[in-house]
Amino acid sequence: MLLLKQILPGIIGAALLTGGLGAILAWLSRSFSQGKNGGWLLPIAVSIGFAGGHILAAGWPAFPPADATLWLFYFALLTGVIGALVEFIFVVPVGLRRLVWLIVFTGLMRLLLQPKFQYGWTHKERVLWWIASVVSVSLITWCLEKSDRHGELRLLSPLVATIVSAGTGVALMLSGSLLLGQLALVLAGVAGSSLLVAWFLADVSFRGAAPVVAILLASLLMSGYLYAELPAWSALCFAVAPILALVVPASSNIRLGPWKSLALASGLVVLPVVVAVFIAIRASPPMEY
Amino acid sequence: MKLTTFLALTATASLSPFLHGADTYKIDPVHSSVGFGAMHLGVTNFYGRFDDISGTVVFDKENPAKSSVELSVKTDTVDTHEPKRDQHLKSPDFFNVKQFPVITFKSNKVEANGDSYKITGDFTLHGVTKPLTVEFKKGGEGKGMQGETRSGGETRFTIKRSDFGMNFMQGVVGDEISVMLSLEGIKQ
Repeated sequence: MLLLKQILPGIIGAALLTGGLGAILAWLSRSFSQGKNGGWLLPIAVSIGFAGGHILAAGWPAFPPADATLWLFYFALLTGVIGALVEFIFVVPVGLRRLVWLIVFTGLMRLLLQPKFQYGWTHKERVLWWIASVVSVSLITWCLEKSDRHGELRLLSPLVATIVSAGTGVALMLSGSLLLGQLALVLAGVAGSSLLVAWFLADVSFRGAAPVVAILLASLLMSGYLYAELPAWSALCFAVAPILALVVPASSNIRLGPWKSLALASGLVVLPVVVAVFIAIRASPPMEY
Repeated sequence: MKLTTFLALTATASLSPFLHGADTYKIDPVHSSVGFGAMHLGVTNFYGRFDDISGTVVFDKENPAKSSVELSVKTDTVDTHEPKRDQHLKSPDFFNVKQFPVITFKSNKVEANGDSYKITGDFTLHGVTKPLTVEFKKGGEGKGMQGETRSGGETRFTIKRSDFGMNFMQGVVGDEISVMLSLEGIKQ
């Protein structure tokens, strides 16, 4: 009960902030641009939603934060602004967009890995981990972007983000860090709220929010593995789960119908998430004391 | 070199064994203790300790201002006699030992204060450095089992963990942490 009282405000607050802000921005977008190009909304709504949830869960972190995990607050705000600018307001070409995000991810991951750069890693380990972390964020981003489809299947991307984030939250709590678990559940609340926004507002795309969610999710998984006790296989299962959504091709919409396609794709994502949580349960240190 | 200068230097050198300078003491981790207490749910304190402390004390009895203290405590040696709690304390929720493996104190000012010493320095916990002033009560001196000279003392002080970015579970675990530090050093 005490645990619920501790974690629920952050999750609910984040979800309400994301959903409310998303709805307001969608209304503004429709009022001023006749509903065109509504994709800039969700990067901003997601980033502010997560930042709000972070404040409720862990307070407003100092800048620069001493604890690398607390960079997530600033990651969310920065990538939200960049997502809105790069993805939709300036409508940059795909190649340039990917390059911008690659540079951003490289810088942000360096900040997250700073404690390991400072203590213990050899030069080779630093380079390998840095590259691996940037690749993982880029892969998750790509998967979430590719999951953003038309019609009812536009819900797939936020649904995948919600499922993976929620599972990550549970696994992180089992891995000895209630704080990291709470932040992952905040992210799940934000992604779930985005799902509702996308459900009710057909012109809102989750694609712009994909890099925001990806950097936060990847950072939580890296922090869980490097700084808490999240098992490596658990982290890997979470990282590759979004790929399975792409196993169901976009054309299945025609054969199966949109809702069955959605159910099948999300069901495939649930599988590695369940495995990851199971691994975390088996490895978890008991928290009751 | 002038003759007078040479004679002065020679006299000083010959008298040096009789002049009292600073003594360097290496902290004996076996006979030193670092303990802490924190309020649980507003009910009562629970206590724990760190099992690994190291450091150096340079002590000038004649001129305490020339003394210095450098201490280092390994955070992953936290021990509250409950392994599950210890694991939680080591996690990112509290000490975050994989990011912050040591707690350190480095003095920058020592003042005599009656039979104790007021020591001011930089205290680093959870990656945050803040100035800290403590009253260190000097204990006695004695000879160890191998004839080595030992000296020590202790201090108690209180910090707020929120000042060092350790904000999680406020209300469950109190913000004010009392620290008890007892040091025994071996003269080098």
